[in-house]
This record gives sequence, C-alpha cells and structure tokens, in this order.
Amino acid sequence: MPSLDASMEPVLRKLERLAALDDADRAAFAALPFRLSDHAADTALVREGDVVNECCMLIDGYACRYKETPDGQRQIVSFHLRGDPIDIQHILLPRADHGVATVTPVRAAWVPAAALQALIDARPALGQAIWRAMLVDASVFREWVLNVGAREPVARVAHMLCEFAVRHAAAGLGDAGAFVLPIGSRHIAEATGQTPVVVNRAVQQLVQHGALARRGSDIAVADLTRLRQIAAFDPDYLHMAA
Amino acid sequence: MTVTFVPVQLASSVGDEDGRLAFVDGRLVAILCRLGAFHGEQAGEWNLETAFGGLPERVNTPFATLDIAERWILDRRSPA
Repeated sequence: MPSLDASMEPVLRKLERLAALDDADRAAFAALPFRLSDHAADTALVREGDVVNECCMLIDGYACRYKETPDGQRQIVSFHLRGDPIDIQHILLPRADHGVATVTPVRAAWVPAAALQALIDARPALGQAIWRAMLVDASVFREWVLNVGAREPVARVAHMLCEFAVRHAAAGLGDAGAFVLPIGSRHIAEATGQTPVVVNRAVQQLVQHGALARRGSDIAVADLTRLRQIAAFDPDYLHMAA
Repeated sequence: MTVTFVPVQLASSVGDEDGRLAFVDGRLVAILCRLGAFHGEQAGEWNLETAFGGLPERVNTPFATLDIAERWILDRRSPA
C-alpha cells in the first residue's frame, strides 16, 4: 500500500478545515495505509448490505450516497466531492446501510477501518475532525429531509444547488458564483425527490430568473446571490466556520 | 374500454400548456402534458402530471405517445 503520498492531500485539507491539526497529526495521517481505485461515472462504490472494512475517501470527482426502494427507486441522500471522507461510520458499523455511487468518474482512496480507528485513538485532534465531519454530514441529512419534505420544487432545486456551490468553493474547486454543474437533471431529481420533468421545469424557471443558465445540455450557476435568495439559503447548517 | 382525451390548456410559467384530461367511463383518471422544447430529448412526449382512482400519481419517464399513455392507464386501472 502506498503511504506518504500526495493523493490523500485533499482529504487532509478537508480535515484541517474541521480541526486544528499539528505536524504530528499531519504525519500520522500521511502514514495511513490506503489503496487507490478509479471508477467510471454512475458505478457503485459500496452497496447496501455489503460488509465493509475500508472507509472510502474521495480523491477526485463527485459521488453520492443513496437509499433505494425494493423496486429500484433511488433517493440520493447526499453528494460528495473532492476530499470528502464518505463512509467513516464503517469503523463502528461494518454493514453498509446505504449505497455509495459515483456521479462522475472518480478516484477513491480506501483506508482500512482498523487503521483509521487506531489513528483516531492516537491523535485526538484528528478524531475531533472526523467526528465533526460526521456531525456536519448528519446536519446536512436533516436539511435534506426539510428540503424534500417541505420546500416547493423551485426552492428545493435552488437550495440543493446552493449547497453544492458553497461546498464546491470550500473544497477549492473554483468560484461558487459561476460554474457548470457536474450533475444533470436526473441526479438533481434523485436528490430532490422529484421527477426529471419537474426538475427541468424548476431549472427553466431558475434560468428565467437569471440564477441558472443552460450551456448546451449542461446546467450552470449564473448568479449565486439570486439562487440563494430564491432558496432562502442559510449555510449555517454546513458549520463551515466551526 | 378506452380512454377519452380532452384537450385543455394548463397554466404554466414555462410554457408546458398543452394538456389532456384523460377520462375512463366519464371519470377523470389522469392529467397529461405535452412537454415543451426545453425538455430536450423528451420534448413532445406526454408527462403524467397527476392521476386519480388508484393509478400511480407519478412516473419518472414520460410517455412517447398518447397511445402508450392510454395502454398504461388501462393496464393499471382497478376494475370499477
């Protein structure tokens, strides 16, 4: 297994945004064993029911977590981007209670759960960062329940895209105010509990309001301020200043 | 048994206005809408807006034609 490798730097940068780490923490993290794997878009990384003894960290690309009904209706419960540790719960809960899939082509790093547990035991600041990451994930899930349960279609799509844009910028992936989304109507539909047709209409209204723009078949954020107004987006639940 | 489609203009801020009320035995069972140009590959297809009387209220994929919509309605409609 490689170690002391630049591959894990996006994950370390994310953890440094969540807790104050010192050089010993960084060295301990850099010494973690891991394996890298590359995946095409729309492929499974973890399936519900799998017994998993590695935690998946997203090195590049976009992924989602999802639940499925027995007849295959998929509800995306969160999106993930570069640097996100995706399923740290497998340290304590080895059986996957949901799926993880790629959205775009992805490079993933897989860290043995036991090694991660040992790191948390040895380095309290890293443990705090990881705990905080999981608490923020839980906060995002709560916000998404509100989103799919209580917001009207246009605000629902706008809110989901605001979160995406803000997290995108926080991960150092570019300006939140104007960028082409790596997700299309189908993923937005699965994330907002609506049909692709309803999402297309919401996107069209957001285009008419100048908040989004169409670039060929892609959707772009054109005016994040406008998008935030329409969504009544308050990023406090992302705990970015924490 | 057949489905009777009655043209209707739907209120829409994005132009999806070409609607059909679908009746079976004089009862309204579904409302469909022909999708406008901004729907891309699905433009011209028929979206199920809502349904009544035990039919699923939403489907993720629009119907390519009204004939296909009719078959879908009749296949799933509970006996009166």
